[in-house]
Amino acid sequence: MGHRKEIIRLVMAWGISITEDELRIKFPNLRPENFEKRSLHDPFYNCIGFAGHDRENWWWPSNQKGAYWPNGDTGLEVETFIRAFASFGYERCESADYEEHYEKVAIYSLGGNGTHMARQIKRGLWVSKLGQIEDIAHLTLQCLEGPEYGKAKDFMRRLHLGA
Amino acid sequence: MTEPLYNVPEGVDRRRVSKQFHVADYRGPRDAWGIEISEPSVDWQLVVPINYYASLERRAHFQQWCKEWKHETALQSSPDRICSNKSYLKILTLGKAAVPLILSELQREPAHWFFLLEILTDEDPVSPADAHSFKRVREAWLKWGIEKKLLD
Repeated sequence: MGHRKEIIRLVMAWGISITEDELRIKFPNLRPENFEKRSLHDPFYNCIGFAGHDRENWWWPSNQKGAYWPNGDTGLEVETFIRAFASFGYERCESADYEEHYEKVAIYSLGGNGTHMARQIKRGLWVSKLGQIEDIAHLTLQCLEGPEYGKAKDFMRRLHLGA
Repeated sequence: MTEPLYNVPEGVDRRRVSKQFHVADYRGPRDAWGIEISEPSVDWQLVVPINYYASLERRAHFQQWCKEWKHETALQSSPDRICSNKSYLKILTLGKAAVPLILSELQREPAHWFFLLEILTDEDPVSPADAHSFKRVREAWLKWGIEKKLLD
């Protein structure tokens, strides 16, 4: 029962209440034992900015006011995300497996369109900002796979800064 | 005193409403920009309470749609999807009267209100240099709201 409360608390900080059933539908693999909350809710940045170490901007390849995109591209294709992160020194890689000296990011997509990104911070640990709410740490990329974000299919890496 | 032509909602003291909006204390309903919206010949004792209830109803609708919108888009990152949500678009039906409510909500809690604000006001107080910064877009709209006296 305690873990259910933890999941519900995660999404209630913004004054919203997502039921347990709704969460289970959105993230069928998310379990209390495979994630933990890491921040308070902060609506000023999103998952893509967070993956790119930017907590000041809402990254999205869109012309909407308030949306920032590093190279000004628009279009939701995964390639748009890859080009943006390539401009910060990331290169495509084959897998999400941990590699010493490298920082990896994963791009979730649905129907070829980017939906979400996660960043690997150490072996077996990823961090994500969930939309407009909070940052979480999750043990696998599968934790956030499902109808909301799709699957993590594309991966990029760059040498750790200072490595 | 003329009897107002409306049904007072349960729990509201009709006499207090009439007193609160007595013609001597109130010059007439105004729109979101502070401009009188009715002809001077209108009997304010009838109109103002009706307007008052319309205002309460608008606020209730706004709060409901705002809550639904945040609920349904909380996990989204795409502003395009966030701003095409059905509950968000329903707020358009409130017209310009929604502007002070949106500004107040934007002040209380940052969210992607900019698209609605632009449509409802037909204005764009955001400079091109600030257009890609969520924080600065929000600040520009709040400043605009204060200048227009729609926000404290």
